[in-house]
Amino acid sequence: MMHVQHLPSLLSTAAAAALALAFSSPASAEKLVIEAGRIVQDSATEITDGILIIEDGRIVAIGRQGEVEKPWDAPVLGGPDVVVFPGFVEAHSSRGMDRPNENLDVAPFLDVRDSIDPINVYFEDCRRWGMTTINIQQGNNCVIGAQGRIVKPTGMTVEEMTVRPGFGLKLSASPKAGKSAATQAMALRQSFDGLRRYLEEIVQDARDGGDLAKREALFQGRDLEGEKAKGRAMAGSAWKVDGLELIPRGAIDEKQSPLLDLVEGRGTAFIWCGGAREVHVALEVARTNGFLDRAVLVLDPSCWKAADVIAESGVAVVLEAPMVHLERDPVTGKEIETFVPGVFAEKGVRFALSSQNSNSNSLWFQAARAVGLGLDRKTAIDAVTRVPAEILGLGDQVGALAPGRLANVLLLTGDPLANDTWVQHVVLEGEVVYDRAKDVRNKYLIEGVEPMGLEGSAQQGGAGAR
Amino acid sequence: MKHPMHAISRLLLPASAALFALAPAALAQAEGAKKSEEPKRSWTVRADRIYTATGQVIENGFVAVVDGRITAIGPAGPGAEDGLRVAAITPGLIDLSPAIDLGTNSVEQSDEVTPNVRVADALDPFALAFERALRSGVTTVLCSPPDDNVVGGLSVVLQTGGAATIAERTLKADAVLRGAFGSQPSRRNSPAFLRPRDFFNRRPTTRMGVEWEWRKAFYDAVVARQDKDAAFPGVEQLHAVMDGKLPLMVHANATQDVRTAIYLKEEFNLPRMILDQSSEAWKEPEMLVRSGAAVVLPPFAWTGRVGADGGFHAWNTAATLDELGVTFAFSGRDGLDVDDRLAMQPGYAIRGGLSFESALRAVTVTPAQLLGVDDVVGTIEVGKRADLVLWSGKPFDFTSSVVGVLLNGELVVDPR
Amino acid sequence: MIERLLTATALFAVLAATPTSAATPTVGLALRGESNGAAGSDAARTETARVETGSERPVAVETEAPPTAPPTAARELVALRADVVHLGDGRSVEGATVLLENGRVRAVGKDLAVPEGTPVQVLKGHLAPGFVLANSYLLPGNERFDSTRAFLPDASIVHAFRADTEGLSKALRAGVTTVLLSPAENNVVGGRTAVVKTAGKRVLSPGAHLSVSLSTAAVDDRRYPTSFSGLIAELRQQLVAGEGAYGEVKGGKLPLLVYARDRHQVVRAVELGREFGIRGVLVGASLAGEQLALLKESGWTVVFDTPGAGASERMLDAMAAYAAGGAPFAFSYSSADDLRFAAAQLLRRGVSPDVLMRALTSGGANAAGVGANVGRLERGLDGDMVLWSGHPLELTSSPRAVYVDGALVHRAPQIPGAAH
Repeated sequence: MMHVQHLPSLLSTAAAAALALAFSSPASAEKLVIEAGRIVQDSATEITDGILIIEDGRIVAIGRQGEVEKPWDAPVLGGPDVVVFPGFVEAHSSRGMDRPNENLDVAPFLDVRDSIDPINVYFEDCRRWGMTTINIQQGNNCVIGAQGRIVKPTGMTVEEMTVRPGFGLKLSASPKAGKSAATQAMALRQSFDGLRRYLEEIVQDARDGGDLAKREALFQGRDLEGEKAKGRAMAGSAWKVDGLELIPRGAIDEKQSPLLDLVEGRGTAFIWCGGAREVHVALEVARTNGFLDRAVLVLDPSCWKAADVIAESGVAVVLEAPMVHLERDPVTGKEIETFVPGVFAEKGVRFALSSQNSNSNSLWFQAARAVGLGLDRKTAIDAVTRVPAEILGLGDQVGALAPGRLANVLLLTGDPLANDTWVQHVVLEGEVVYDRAKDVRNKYLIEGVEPMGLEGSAQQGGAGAR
Repeated sequence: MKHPMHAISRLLLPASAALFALAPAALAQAEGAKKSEEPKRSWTVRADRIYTATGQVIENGFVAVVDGRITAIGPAGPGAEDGLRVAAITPGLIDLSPAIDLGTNSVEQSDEVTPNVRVADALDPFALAFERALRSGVTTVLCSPPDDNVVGGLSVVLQTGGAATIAERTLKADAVLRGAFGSQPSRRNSPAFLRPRDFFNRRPTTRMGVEWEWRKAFYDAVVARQDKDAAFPGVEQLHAVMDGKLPLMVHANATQDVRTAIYLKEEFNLPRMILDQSSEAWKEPEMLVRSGAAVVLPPFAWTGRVGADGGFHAWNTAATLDELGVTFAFSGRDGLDVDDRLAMQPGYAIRGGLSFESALRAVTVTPAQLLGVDDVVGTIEVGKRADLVLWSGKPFDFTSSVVGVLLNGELVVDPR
Repeated sequence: MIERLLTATALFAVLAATPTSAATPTVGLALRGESNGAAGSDAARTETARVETGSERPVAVETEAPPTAPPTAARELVALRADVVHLGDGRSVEGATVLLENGRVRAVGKDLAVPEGTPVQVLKGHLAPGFVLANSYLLPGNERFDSTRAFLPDASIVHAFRADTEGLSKALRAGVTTVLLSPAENNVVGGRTAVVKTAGKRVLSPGAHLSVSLSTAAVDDRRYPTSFSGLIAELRQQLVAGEGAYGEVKGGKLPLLVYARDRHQVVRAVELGREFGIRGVLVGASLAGEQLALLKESGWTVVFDTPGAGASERMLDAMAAYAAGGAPFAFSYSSADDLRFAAAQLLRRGVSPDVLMRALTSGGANAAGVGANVGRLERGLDGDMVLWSGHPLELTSSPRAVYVDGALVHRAPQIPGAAH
């Protein structure tokens, strides 16, 4: 069974790579022209009979046919039936990795870089469904998780895929397996108390003439050159340890420095809340340690009950699937359905939709269903483009089509939210990384046609189980 | 028309719901209140489009309902009553495989072949699954015994809400005989090496065994035609199947089970067969067309593999069956996630290439015909029961959803 | 004494003005002859008239504590006067007297004159009929459950009745004088139920119902039937054939006691009842309040299991709604504390104490088919009574004395320093 799923992905990755190569031929390496019957620049702006010019991975011009000068030496993609749309942005995902969770409760010195699997079928799905920017964060089963990374779904190595390394830190306000809500909250608070104690200790040691931190860093083989050799007074709005300028920044323990970054107002925290109760813990920890304005709550559907508190705090949120929360009234025994994005929209909370927990692995479907269930179209489209781009600090790079932005462009067969629309091509930073005509696994999903060389493999797998 | 925007958007409205959180002061009034709660069953609903499932689409029309029956349909006519105006109306949806039952308490396993027991005796009218189905547009279901038995028993056609008893909700009793092929019926069985502890120390333990039980049952039924002494409990039901009076519905998910079912149909000349959850029926197009069997498709899965035996369900499976001229219907299997329910299935099939009109038929008039209840439900026509689904946009578009439901004229989900 | 009587009269007037008693406004009069009881009303009138002509006032023996006297002798007359007498039909009378003859009730009334020479015991507290529970879990499991077969129409639980079990005496001490013994719900058909007294070894009814279980316990993977489909199919077949006990059930001679816990099981019982024109009691239908209309229409009586401390709000609300709905109901006995606690929980939800008292006395007796013997203090019925230190449903009250067939069978020990 495994290899049936896996091999086609390899094949199509190879196909995509081959395609990418074809388009990277020297004559047209830096330029690409896309023509479309309709260009949806963002949730508010559309052009009919449009044209979009890409140079060096960025959009340089966009406009109606005839209004924009078309370079003579660029290959042309698209046509009058094509609808062009910005690549979807996944604000938070824990897929595409070898096991998404770490055993250690507090592991901010780890990096999802070492876990991301470039040939994971998830990234193939991302291309198929047009998700061009993905924020990969550790799974939710942690107290403080690894550092995350923003990637694009193409490339044979993590480095090739990387858009922004070391981005975001995963925190969880919900009990890690084996913990109670109380011990989880305590562990989360104590991590920051521990940071403060640690900083006070090394500062005291330095004042006493010691150099414990530095020796420990050198012992660990860390490099203390340049900026890292210098000390700097502690920044941040919540609390400060005086005398931190005495410590070379490079000497601060790897386990503590990502937390220090948060307290000093650098970096983004993605805080998982598995239930409304935990929203308070998440907000309290972020507020006490001065990173409320850099916190993003990743929410289970049941968290709609904390919408008022979230609205008041001003934080942005990522809504995991399913979008309809189902529960039983404990008194009447009746089932209650709540359309979660609707609640947050009404409260004025900024939210991104996420495909996490949806077996569709896609954002167009989430956006379409959000409209179906009652969200207005603009808000739904923003929630899969503009808002996640802003959450990732890429608000001026991705999530919309405009000159100067990264050329992450989808060529669709129809309206982005229509049932029968398919992604025809995906252009990622100017390169064509997906062509549906060559997507063998998609052909299998649509028509049941098994890729060459794999016919009957499912039956063989079955026969193998004696 | 308002969207079901947020919080508690679709609590069922009527009689049964409201009575129990009684403050002491309210207790005395409870009985009086109950009597005055006879629901309103007469409405006029207007819509931008009315899809009647008879091949007709009425633009900017109305459906008039009096005492639970459709009395008039048309493009012109009365105004919307109390703002009851929506984007679209379709007939109430019909689910041939809703998976609403009481688990193994709904299938008699003391014998592999129990054609004479009724699942109607083992259902819970208060099951949340009925309400879940109803508020997402399913007004009629065929409830069947679960597939833990070879020949499970008689299925029943029910409306998904209304009265508090199964008997009063029944549209058609003993509507089909239900059984299963594949791995399901033998799943819990094992050969008895030691003293048997329960019923499951028995055959069949394989697909072969399941097939053998089927053939033996019908062979015994053939013998019992000549020899009255060879009669056994359930033989009348098997005879009814052989005579075409009772459809036979069998679970057959993977290709080999579809083949086995069709071989049985042909060997014993069984006129009416419905293959349930047959995601791989499309892999045997010629046999399928030759046999004349109808197909109920499982709920769509993005990964392709669905059902008890992991049959492969491609996006275009429904479209393929439609092209072949095979009669087919969709099913919901009690999906918890809104996106997995019956009302979504036509949308997935349309994405796979099926026409809107065929998709609509596969959740309305086709299942009604397969059950022989198309004189009552399945289309919007004068004289039919007023089972209607009200939509926020074009039905089955992912950007639309069910916003209102009328069951037998009662507005059980209010779009306003 | 007179002053107390006057107060009592005034209170009674208040009682009569409440809606519950308004339906039967003349309690006193009814008791003086226009009785609706089983005994002929003419006889009752004559009896009362004769007593009332008795001119001399009897000698009253006042006792503060419950009586220590031995059981009344045969043919002997004895009168008990209490602060409040509960009649078993939901009503109560202040300062009334109960006249017993040969262990049975001869008359009850306020200002009831008794024959000359009749000893009158004046008791402090409430005198109420002994509680009658229309189901119980008193017998050991192996006596109630036969695992060999699911259908045992010819069995009778009365053969398992042992009068000297600890459970029965505990029930007695808790004020329960009559209980129904039932086969377990693991058998689809468990046999006949029996109704017995908790003292005196008397069997009131050796076959009150045929016990049928429609609960999940009756469908078992290890024997036929394994499903509700199979269970109903078999029951239907047996009832159609109508042999033996099934015939009595069909003919209306033998009511059913049906274990039906979930709402769908209740529906199944009602539907089966409709099909064969049979009815009886439903045991354990804790959400019956959500099916009130169905149950009132069908005529089944619900026997509630006493909800414990863990009972859900929903269940308690449903029970309260059922109790307020006016349909007949009774309770099962599992333990003495559960019984009183259950009553308290329902009182807290606004159920009237009169309704609860009726369910615990005549309601239980009617459900158990022994309403003509026990459950009310009315001419001709057994003298099964409990003297309570206060209102029987107050959790602070306790049974001070228990009488069965007019005999004092239990007297609460005096606890030194205790209030009572």
